[in-house]
Amino acid sequence: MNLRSELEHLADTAPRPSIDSTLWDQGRALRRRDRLVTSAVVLALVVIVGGLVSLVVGPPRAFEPADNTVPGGAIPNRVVEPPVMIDPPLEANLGIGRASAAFFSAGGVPVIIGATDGRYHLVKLTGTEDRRAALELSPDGRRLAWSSDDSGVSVADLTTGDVTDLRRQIGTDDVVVTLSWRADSTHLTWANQTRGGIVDVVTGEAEQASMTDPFIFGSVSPDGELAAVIGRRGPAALFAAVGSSGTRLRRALPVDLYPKGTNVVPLGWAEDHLLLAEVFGPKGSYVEGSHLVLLTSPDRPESEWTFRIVMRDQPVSDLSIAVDLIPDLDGTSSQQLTHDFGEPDWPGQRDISWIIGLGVAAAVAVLLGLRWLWRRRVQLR
Amino acid sequence: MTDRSAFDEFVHARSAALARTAYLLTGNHHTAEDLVQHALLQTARHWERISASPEAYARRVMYHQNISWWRKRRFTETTLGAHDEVHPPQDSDLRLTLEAALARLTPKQRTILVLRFFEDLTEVQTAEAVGVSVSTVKSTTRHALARLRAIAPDLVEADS
Repeated sequence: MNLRSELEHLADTAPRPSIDSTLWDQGRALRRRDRLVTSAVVLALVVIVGGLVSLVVGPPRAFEPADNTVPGGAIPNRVVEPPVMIDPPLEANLGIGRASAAFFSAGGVPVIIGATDGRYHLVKLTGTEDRRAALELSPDGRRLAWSSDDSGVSVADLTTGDVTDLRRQIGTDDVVVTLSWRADSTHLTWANQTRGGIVDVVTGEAEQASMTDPFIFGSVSPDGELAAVIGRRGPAALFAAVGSSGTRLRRALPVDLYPKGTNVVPLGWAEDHLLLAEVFGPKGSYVEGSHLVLLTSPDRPESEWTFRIVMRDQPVSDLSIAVDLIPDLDGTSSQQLTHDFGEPDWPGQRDISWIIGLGVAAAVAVLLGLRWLWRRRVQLR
Repeated sequence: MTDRSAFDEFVHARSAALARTAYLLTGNHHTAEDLVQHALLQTARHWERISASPEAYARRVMYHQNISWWRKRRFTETTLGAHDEVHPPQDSDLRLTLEAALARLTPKQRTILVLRFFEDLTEVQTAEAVGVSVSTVKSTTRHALARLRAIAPDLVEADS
């Protein structure tokens, strides 16, 4: 009796197994799952390799928002402060097309937001390197005016990119501190500490004006009858009649929204009697912080007054808005006055989150592939 | 013949032989049956690639799976004692001695002994089947026989 024969005898005691009749079906189901997993891994590898190749050798990714575009242009539903960047890439060509908003970032970089696509453009404006000058977008969003450090005023045609120097027409040696467009988007008012005037940026005709004229320090309505002016914090927005009388008018603000009063800074006129303004709601207000509102001017009957919040949590100071992009009110509270263009992509800042995601996916796919190959090698050997 | 009918025919013809090897590998009827089921499931899963030699494939699956299960279970399971013991029809003293001796070997030693002395594989074939080197097969066989010799001297003497 040897070991082999004893093993044979011992094996003879093994009972005949009862085999599950569904083994074949189970095996086929596993096989189908294997094929699906294999296909998914291969697809993932192809996508990852293709993505990495396009990342390395492809053209630079366009810096466009993920959301759609609006053919006629729209005001963005929110404005965001650009991230702090050391030596950000600035666009020298101002022919970016119609714009919806413009402002200086906290770091002093001029920012223009495209009206149709919501893209943020960090631009180079000559003469604004050392200080924050006045920056005003025309109501139609097609021109941008700014004052420079050397007492100049320039106007850029955002369609062509051409820049016009208005230094000769203005003729002042002091730095221009305020700029304001009339509703026609061709007349630009300016003022420094002592003087002011108005310039037709198309014809170049210029007039000097008294500093007491309301249109110098206020935003003049399209019909030229009223100027909205900046007032101190209080229960009403201030307006002044344009002309010799200079009569001051007060437009009461909703007490339930601002029980402690508020500051109103006019940004422009959306219609003859509808002002777009920036309002700062102090603590305890229904809407706290800086936000944009539409309000009816006081020369209309109170029964016609409207008060609509257009944009909340407005983070930048001295925001300039192309007010012509605000649609005519249809009388319903559900009307969308702004458009969600999505998260902006900042020039010079590559979004690496998708690269990280691809990397993780690649690692998982490679590990799955190696595991699959190892199991295949072991089981089929 | 369809794949399904070929598989069924293979199962019908060879499941008993697989069960014999599985029992020697595990020393436990229930585990042996699980091992055969698992090997046949994997065979069905990869049928189109291995239909030329499904039994060889199923056996390799059993060799590897037995060691793999042991690695997973050694810290969590205890034997069922008499419940799983065999009731041998003849030469009970010697087979009980062999069973007891095999039970004291590691799964790796036991697998290699079964492959070498029951499946009649060469050292090279055994090494390839288990996925170890030939020298490991030699040393494991030597250690396994030494242990058997200590546990069941009559058996090993008879073998030698």
